[in-house]
Amino acid sequence: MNLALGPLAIALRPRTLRVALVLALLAFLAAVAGVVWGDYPLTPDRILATLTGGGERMENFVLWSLRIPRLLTGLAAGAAFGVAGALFQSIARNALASPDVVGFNAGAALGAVAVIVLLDSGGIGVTAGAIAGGLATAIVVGALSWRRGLPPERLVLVGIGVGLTLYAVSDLLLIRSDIFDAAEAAAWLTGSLNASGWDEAARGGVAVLIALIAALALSRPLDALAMGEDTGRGLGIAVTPVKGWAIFIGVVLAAMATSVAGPVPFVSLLAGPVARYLIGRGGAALFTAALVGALILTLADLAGRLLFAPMQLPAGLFTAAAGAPVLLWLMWRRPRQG
Amino acid sequence: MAGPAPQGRAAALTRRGAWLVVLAVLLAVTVLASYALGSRQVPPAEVIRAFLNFDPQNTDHLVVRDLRGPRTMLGLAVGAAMAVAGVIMQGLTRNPLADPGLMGVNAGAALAVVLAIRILHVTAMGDLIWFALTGAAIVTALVLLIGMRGSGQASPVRLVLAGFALTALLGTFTSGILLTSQETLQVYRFWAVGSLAASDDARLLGVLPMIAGGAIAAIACSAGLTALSLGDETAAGLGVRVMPVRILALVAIAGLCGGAVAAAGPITFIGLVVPHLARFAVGADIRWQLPAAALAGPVVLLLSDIAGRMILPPGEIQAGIMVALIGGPFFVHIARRATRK
Repeated sequence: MNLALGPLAIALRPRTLRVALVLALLAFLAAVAGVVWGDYPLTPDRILATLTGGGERMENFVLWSLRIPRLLTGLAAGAAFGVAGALFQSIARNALASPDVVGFNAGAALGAVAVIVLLDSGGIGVTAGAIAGGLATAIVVGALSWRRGLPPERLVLVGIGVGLTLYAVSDLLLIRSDIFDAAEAAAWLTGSLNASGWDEAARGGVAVLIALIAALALSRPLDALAMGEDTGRGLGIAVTPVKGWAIFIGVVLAAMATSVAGPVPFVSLLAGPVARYLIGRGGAALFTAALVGALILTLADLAGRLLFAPMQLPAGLFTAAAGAPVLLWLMWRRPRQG
Repeated sequence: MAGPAPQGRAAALTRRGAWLVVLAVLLAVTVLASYALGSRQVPPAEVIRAFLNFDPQNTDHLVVRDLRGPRTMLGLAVGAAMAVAGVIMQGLTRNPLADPGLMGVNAGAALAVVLAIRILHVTAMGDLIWFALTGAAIVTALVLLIGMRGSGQASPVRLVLAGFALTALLGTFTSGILLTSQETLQVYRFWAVGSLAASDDARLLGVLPMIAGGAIAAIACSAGLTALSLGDETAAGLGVRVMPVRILALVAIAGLCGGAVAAAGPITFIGLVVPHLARFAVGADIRWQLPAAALAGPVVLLLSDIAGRMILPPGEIQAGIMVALIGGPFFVHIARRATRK
């Protein structure tokens, strides 16, 4: 089956389609759970009434101002993190080259923190700061790890070091400011959807739009490149522009997601490999990675809201608790590879 | 081992001795500065008078003796412990990027303490340090196991990633427990603040025996580790038994890190940066690196603490953050050098 949109077309295999449907169904169920459950009790019939315009003041507030924007933000940021990770991993041909490992999220977080603390600004300015921080970090990490190409070991080590440095700078800025209290700042740097409103959801929505366009345009060339650069060239792929666009869009997506949800760890790292495992083949798996990312972040936020209610834990704690063991297991299973 | 010619050996000895003297002088100046500098400046002469001729009515003397005194002493002990632990860790793994903080050892000590407070309701410092020790020992063993699997010698990237993942995982559980249990947070905050600020003499005295024990283990394994740096087989040929040396090294790291974390909370990067400074000063012999690191570690930590006090008085920035601002770029530098081939 083919999905065609002018010159942009991707082949959809039955298995890919099945996986996508199942993931979308799971994400939908998680979304419903996120809308239904919470501190403020809402029965399904009250939710239906509120959704169709018959809610009371409190019900309208809880649903329309708190739960629904938070849910959309989680889905959007998760999808953006997922696509960003899959883009980098497919370009570097290494699962570890995801923006949360190589410091790009740390750069985006620093950009966002700088805008909030130094310029005392919010909304779109924060996203702009995050994108600027992410791009600058990508350039610095790329330049510092360049050695006749980007050797994965060098990229990962340099990226981790740059990330640690940038987080320390963020800590410094947050401590100097009195805008946040320490707990709030720590929650944001862990990755949390606690502060999500329609503004965050809208910025997340733009990120998803960019991710979709990128996925449509880059899926085929990236799949071809996955078979080797020479094969790609033979198939008529302009290798350097494709790589350049993939990296640029990946940085922008990770930065936009970071600006609304904080530098949530391990979503980007997990989404690509899980997606490729599910559809059972190589290639970039951008669409599947978007769905996997959205599902992971939504579930993590759900866990953070419900498991220790009325306490709300940052979603980033749960993505780390799920992602770190996977990383350890990957290294245990493949002793030779980084 | 083919030793250098007698003259060369004497010259090397002089050079190493000279470096140790330089480091000791640097440390003395840093300690004096740590007493003198802060949101309230105390002239150096007054600092010395506070010790030789203490006047309980003099505010300067009180600041020096009661506030900056314990803080400086704690910085001395923790800085030396983390630096020596770093030397042992880099020697044991033969990895220039190894650092107990980055490898998750400190995070393991912190989690063990939080678990002890939360589940077993332990509150006494004297009991908690044993949990810190156990946590540090378990994580050290785990990192070595994961990092060395397959090839015998850990590749830098494997070890760093194992540490990265372990630090994230352990830190997640620590934050989760602290966020969900107010009582645990109260005890933990009082106990480990990730800085030198809330020090008192009791805190230092509580951990000193453990740090001293770790230091003795470090000295005991240093000759063996130096031989092991030539390769397992060469070391065996020299009559070094590999396993006892590794176990001693593990005990040293656990004691030093457990004690340091118990006193000041997890501080990263001292164990990464200082061993390189020590190697630069006195060469590859770990027996010489230990004293050099023990002198240079407190210099780095105390300078970071002083900088944190000076940047925006009267507030202050935790020494751990200041160390990370130097340590992060240093890590990048070493990482680039290690992957240059």
